[in-house]
Amino acid sequence: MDAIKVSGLSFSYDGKKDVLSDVAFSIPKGCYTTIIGHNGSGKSTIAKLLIGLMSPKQGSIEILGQSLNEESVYKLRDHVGIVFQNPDNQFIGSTVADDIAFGLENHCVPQEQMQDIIEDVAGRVGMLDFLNSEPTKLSGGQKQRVAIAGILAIEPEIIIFDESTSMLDPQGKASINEQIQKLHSEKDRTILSITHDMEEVAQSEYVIVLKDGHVVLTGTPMEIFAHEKELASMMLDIPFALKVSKELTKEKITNQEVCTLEEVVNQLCQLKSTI
Amino acid sequence: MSIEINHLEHTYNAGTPFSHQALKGIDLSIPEGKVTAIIGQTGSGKSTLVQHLNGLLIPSAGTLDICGFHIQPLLKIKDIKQLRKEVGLVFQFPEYQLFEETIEKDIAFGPKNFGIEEEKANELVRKILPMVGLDESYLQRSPFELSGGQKRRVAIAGILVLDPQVLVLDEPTAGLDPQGAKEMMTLFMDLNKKQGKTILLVSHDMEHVMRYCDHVIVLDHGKVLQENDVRTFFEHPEWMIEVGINPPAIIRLKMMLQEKGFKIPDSILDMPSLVECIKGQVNGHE
Repeated sequence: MDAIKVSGLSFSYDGKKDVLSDVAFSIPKGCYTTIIGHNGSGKSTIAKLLIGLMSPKQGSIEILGQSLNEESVYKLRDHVGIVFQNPDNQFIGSTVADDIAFGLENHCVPQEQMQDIIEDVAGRVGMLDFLNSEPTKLSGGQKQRVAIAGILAIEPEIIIFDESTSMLDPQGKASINEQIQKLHSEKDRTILSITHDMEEVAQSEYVIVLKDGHVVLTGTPMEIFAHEKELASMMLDIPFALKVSKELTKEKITNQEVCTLEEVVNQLCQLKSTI
Repeated sequence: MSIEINHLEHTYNAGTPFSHQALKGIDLSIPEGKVTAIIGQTGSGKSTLVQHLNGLLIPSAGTLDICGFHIQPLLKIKDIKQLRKEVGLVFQFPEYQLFEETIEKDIAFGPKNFGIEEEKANELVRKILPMVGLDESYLQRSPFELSGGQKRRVAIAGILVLDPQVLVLDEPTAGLDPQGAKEMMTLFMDLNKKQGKTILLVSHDMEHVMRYCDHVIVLDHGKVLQENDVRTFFEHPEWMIEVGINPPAIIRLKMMLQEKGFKIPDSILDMPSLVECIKGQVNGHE
């Protein structure tokens, strides 16, 4: 079954210019998908439509096989979580702990389990020391960590990340990306991540490329990266690992291009052991 | 003239229960006409340090010499306006500081504040716009209808229009898409190479530091942990790991390969040399 199925989707903010036009894609359950595209290509608009914050001008959205509409939206939101780009837009609690608890309360999690869950998820995002802090007093990166903890607490079926690590330093970003990976690999959650980070794209299973509100490419990371020129015209670069891999294949050292550092190292290790 | 910092300390809320020593004896000499990166984790004192450079913060102890100004505790800086003209400080997310009705007025605000007549100020604005990649058609538009990246250019133009000798940038590319970030860095490099401006760059992006900077300063818990030329710094990835900084992709690859028994000299920092080095250590596919 598809976790998300979108067809003929169009949307306009001002009624004149379409920011999305005739967008179609489907994401199988348990798939880790990334959406890339330049600023203003309509990425965040898709995210807002998928959680029913806005209604499309045309087209349909199916979540877990059910049509998303005014009646089903509240029920379907139990299964879809989102972490926005700007975490200020989603704080509710007066302390970090309260904020993480909010989603749990809505899901009727018994009080006695809540404390454990809150401490567990806060620890996983490195915010255990801040449980009693006011969310507004935290730095941008810390706020993003709290917002992600809120999602980890619920673990909804489908999780959308809208540039959710943009304010983190590279090390923080790596540790959060690891948590996202785990949700996918250990908990089998469907992940849809809007990102500029090509290393993250290389780690995903399926990629959707948006340009001026249209889906222009879809496929596995390697299929997408094969369109290097087209990506460059959209100001998107291929990951460093693939650049090295291309060089290695050109030099006839390896015979297959790969796009993550781990894969490059694995390839080379196999060749080394045959000496 | 280089920037000389001697035993600089800064304590916030001194003498109160909230007292916090953010800088604990900083000694630095920052070269003139170079691009220097200041790196370190959140809370290491980077922003506190750069705010001393134009007198926004005054040291609790120690001294600072910059552009002919001598700054020391408890001493009111004479002619502080002139210091702020010489040292342009661009905060993180400077686009939040835009406030005027039109882009022209926003950029002209600085020069007018320094006593330049409106006509002359507007002339300066026209000269500066192309430098940040905008043309005159933007002059009468509201800065608030621009995209995030464009807003940031306008905000930076508001500093550049004062023609500072030293430009201090606190994470100027945070939150921009890769292309926007690249254009921004190209602008700063131009200012350095063509106009000889001294640039200080607070950054988390090690790819940028490696590619664009000459000199690296690492802060950790309010102290200077490292001060090196960029090459020496990146030849020692263990220094980055020590302070919790994620090295650039090429260095991560090098470290992963070294761990697996490949012999790769630390001096290799570019892809062609790395590929060449690997080539000698594997059997090729035929």
